[in-house]
Amino acid sequence: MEHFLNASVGGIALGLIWGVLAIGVYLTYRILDFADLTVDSSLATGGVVSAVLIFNGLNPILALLISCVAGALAGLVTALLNTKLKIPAILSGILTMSALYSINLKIMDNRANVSFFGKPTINGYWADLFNMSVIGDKNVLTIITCVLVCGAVVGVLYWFFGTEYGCAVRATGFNSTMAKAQGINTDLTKIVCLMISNGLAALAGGLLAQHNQSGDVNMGTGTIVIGLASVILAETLIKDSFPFWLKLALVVVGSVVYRLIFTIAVQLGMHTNDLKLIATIIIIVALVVPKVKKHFSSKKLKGGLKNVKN
Amino acid sequence: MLKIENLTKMFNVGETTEKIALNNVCLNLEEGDFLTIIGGNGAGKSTLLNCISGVLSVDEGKILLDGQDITNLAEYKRASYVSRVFQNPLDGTAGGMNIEENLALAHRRGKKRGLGWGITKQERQLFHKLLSETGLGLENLMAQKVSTLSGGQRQSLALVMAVLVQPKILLLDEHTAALDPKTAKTVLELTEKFTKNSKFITIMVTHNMNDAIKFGNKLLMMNQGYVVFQASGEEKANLKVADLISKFSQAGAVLNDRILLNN
Ligand SMILES: Nc1ncnc2c1ncn2[C@@H]1O[C@H](COP(=O)(O)OP(=O)(O)OP(=O)(O)O)[C@@H](O)[C@H]1O
Ligand SMILES: [Mg+2]
Repeated sequence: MEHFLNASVGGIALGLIWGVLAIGVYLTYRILDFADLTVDSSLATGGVVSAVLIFNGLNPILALLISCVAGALAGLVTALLNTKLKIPAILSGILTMSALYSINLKIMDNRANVSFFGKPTINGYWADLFNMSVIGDKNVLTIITCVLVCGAVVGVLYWFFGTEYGCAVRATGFNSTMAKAQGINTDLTKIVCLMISNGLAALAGGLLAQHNQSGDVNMGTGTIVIGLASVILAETLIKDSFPFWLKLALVVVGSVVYRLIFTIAVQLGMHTNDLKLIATIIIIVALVVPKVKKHFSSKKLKGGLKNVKN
Repeated sequence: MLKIENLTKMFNVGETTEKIALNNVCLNLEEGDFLTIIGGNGAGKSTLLNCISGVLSVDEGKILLDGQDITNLAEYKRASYVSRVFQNPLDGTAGGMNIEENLALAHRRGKKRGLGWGITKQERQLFHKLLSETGLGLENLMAQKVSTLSGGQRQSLALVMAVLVQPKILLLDEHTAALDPKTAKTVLELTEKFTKNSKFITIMVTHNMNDAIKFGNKLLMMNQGYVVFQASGEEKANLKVADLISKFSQAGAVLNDRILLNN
């Protein structure tokens, strides 16, 4: 039982870290309507940047911020490929993701991972404050860190998407024809949204690296699937009428639920090798159901409008 | 003043499907002019409007607005001067956002969008007042998602949005064609209300010859990328549907059922 509890606390800690990533995925996938695969590598970029910087003695908070900027730059590359070179969204993401793998290795001087045990991490601040052990109370400390980070992220995004520019980004996602007709530079709104999203992915990577006290070039593998699964789980809780901050907060909850489901499944004896397969099946089902629903409701809509052409 | 000089637009250049959608089109419109455009399917009406709004790049010719060459100005920059209502009611508004958010977006057309609030208190009051004046009851639905509105309501909202910030040119591309006759009438009345005594140029494409005659002070007939007939003032006001049909036949146009049945 105690083992189970510990595992659950660990699950919550990881869920909150990946919650930051899930918010990023929500922004591109749901707000901008852009399937961005860059996150698979930008998360790792954030992780390895933090790892290398902390290893070299940089302040852990500063390291997180720099991770964030590195991720935003990766998002910028994908956005430029798509908007300026007209490469389809998915392919743009895949290209950046692939190139980033090499760059992530370069950042670590061609090592596959960098550990920084014993170096200060952001958790160290609370450990000092509450007189806890950085190693023994690792999960609890990470939970404190991530609650603060998630709170700040949700707050800032809630503010941003209420601003004139934030509304322009949302309009781009809902209807880019209308957005352009209203004078919105939709290339720029896409760039901004992809930079924020990948900045968040890298922030999650930085947090994960600090949690593990190491950065690994493969730490982001499957990120997009995890992000999507969290968003989809969250959407079972989200109602259209909810305020935006609550939607974002529930995306984090979705990520935690996702982790806990796996923690429980593994505790019940399921093999970890099967997890990805099951996650994929969950996502496919969840992705198809709204499409089917939409199909039926759009039939209704067409009945209401006379011959919509062009 | 809008001055279009020898505008030519081709599609699929060099392929077997090459098509000249606009052939040396010239057009001069003054402040306050209301031009109606008629023509059969594929005549080039939408293409002309899309060239003016910057959706399409032009192959030859120039578009001058108040003396400024806007031929190659990006679509989103041109939106400062050119506003539009589309044929498809789903195109002109963001369904996922509510009415007041849509209006707030339109209220910033041609202005810089920064980090100020996306919608202010004063704007809410302004929008409420403006919507009340349209008499459609939309002012009571300000916080409602636009996707829940009917096609006619969406099109009316799109119209309000298009004139919320005075454009220099208002483009209406068959903006009532997707609506049932009664709703179409309401939207046309609203169009008339917004364009009466206006300072801006209005260009309205329609399949309905009666509307083409009834609305505006100028008329343009297109066929196969050519301007085949133009009328203005007195001459235009005295046109009859029969005149237009004979002009069409003179141009060798094959009129489709949609035009004929509409009249
Ligand atoms: N994107 C495009 N690619 C290729 N051809 C096009 C394109 N857009 C329009 N065309 C062609 O250009 C011609 C003019 O089309 P346009 O849409 O301007 O006609 P229209 O007068 O608006 O007709 P309708 O009454 O059917 O709306 C047509 O032959 C059309 O097939
Ligand atoms: Mg057309």
